[in-house]
Amino acid sequence: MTLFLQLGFQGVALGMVYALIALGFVIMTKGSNTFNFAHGEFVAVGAYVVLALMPHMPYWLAFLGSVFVTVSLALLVEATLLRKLISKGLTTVVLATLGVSVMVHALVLMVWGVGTKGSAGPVGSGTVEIGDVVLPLSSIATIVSSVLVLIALLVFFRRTSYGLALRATASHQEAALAQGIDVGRMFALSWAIAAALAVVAGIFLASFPRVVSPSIAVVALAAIPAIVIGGMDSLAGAVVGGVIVGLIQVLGAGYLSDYGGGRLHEVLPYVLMLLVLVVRPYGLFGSRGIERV
Amino acid sequence: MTTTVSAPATPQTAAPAPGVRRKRLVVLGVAAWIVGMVLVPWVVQSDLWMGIGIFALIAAIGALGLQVIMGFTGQISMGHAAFMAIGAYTSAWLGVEKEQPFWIWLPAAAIVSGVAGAIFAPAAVRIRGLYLAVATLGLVFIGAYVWETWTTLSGGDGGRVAAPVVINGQDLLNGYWSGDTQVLTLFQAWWYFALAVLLVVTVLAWNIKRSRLGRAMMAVRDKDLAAGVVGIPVTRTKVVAFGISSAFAGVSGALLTAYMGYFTPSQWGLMLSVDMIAMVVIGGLGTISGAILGAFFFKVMPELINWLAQYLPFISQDAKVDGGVTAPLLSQFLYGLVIVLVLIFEPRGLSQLCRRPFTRLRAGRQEETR
Repeated sequence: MTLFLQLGFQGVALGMVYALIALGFVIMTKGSNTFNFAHGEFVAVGAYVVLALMPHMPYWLAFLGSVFVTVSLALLVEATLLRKLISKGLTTVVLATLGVSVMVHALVLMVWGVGTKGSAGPVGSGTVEIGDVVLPLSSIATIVSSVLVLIALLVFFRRTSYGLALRATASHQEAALAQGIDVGRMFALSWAIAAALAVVAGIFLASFPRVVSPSIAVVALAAIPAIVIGGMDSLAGAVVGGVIVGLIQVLGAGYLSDYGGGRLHEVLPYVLMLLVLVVRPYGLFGSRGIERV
Repeated sequence: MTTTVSAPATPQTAAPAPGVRRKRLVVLGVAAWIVGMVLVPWVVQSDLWMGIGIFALIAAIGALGLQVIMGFTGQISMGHAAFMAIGAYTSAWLGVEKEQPFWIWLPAAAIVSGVAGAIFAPAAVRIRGLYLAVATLGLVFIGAYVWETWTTLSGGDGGRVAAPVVINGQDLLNGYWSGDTQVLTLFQAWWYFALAVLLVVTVLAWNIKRSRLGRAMMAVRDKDLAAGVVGIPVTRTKVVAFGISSAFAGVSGALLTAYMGYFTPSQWGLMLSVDMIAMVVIGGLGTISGAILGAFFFKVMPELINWLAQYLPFISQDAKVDGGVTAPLLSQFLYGLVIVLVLIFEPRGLSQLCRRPFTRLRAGRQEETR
């Protein structure tokens, strides 16, 4: 039971990180009707920049610096690529983001090299004991920060005019345009929010016991099963899907290590994703029928 | 008051109709291409470039497969690497463990991959667009896990030997000998072998495109709902397209490993799928020539940059742990950049870019005849 609680807590913590990345995917998909395969690289850039700035300034300033850099990168990609390609169809845009992903990956390796670096988390390797259960501080920090970010996001979408405009754009672009909403600016806004979420996800994906390494972008792709499980156009689905994927990975690593070469937990989310696609192609929370034939 | 003026009839000249002329041009071009390809091993003397050429021929087979599903049928598939791997392991198992000749393991690789594709297809045909790209992405990760864990088949991280191509009792990796004299070097022999397979696959793809099946695929691509309304079995067309595409991928994977002689599970990652997609997109979606052009472009480009890098002062030759601009990284960066630039400036790809001068020429000639 103790082991289960410990693993469950860490699973939820990892799941919240996936949820943040998945939310980024969903916000971009809803806001600008594209799928950004370079999002994993945005997560990596966010973590690397925090790590590079950390020794020179207080942590919160390093975090803000990283948000600035990553959001600028996202806006640059959005302005130079998306605006030019949006009229040429979904396939073209998706492939272009693949190209961007390759470019950003190469740039990251050029600047920071292929080696692994230190941890980029806001808290160190300490632990807290509640009864028999040992909880790493980094997991607590992850869950607390993610919940705060989610609440902030909720308030933004529900209570601000920009949030309303963004939701309007997501539900019907032409109608939003007719109401005087600058749809182009909403595209940019959705990419900026996604990039900011990527930085938060990046620092927690690279906090104890994990470190910053070039493979962080691939790890971030584990958020993709999360969005499919949750439903590609549902914000709540992204969070639930993220937590499911995190729990599967951590509990799988803890309990299934004797089966399938001890790495079964790495593929279980993808297997579940394929099952969901067969049974409920629109995901647990997605709107029915949009992408179905 | 409106008067309808009938368009002046185009004067019938002695010159053949544009359609016939176009057909002749295509036949001429294909003939020239085949002759050129046959002559390559006698012109190119560098082993390095011959090796790259052989990789390009093999990649072109896989790219043609992706063209069937992406270019003809319009379904984004990121799972091509998984099907290439299935072909590779089928061929290696049959060729090494079961000691079967290549004319058994090569078709077997196609069949097993094709069947695997058709089995996956029912899950895939229910979804399209983004969902499909994402679902097929999962296939690559699951595949990579299976290869790394199934060590009796794949040899684990250490890899395993691939099936040899033995013709007349001679392993092609030793070249082709007649008595004591070497008729063909290893590179020449493999070039012709890969070229022969590519030609077969090209003819198949060409015929598919011009058949009822191919037209059905393109109808599904353009609007699946409309295709269904006019009586095309949409689901069956997609399943067949997946099967054919995967079969070509299997052949490509089997040849790739047979040429390398030895292979590890790590090479069947997401990057291989991205490479394949880049080839068909940059080459030109929906065209046969595009897949082949794209394959050659993406095999030759990194080597060109490596070669150029010797003359650029700010590029170091070897990879560093701490970063720095190295030739492989620069070529990777430019690779991404080329994808983006082509998509912005010529979404129809290199094949269209190459055709432009001819199209202009033809347009010019038609002006003259008027």
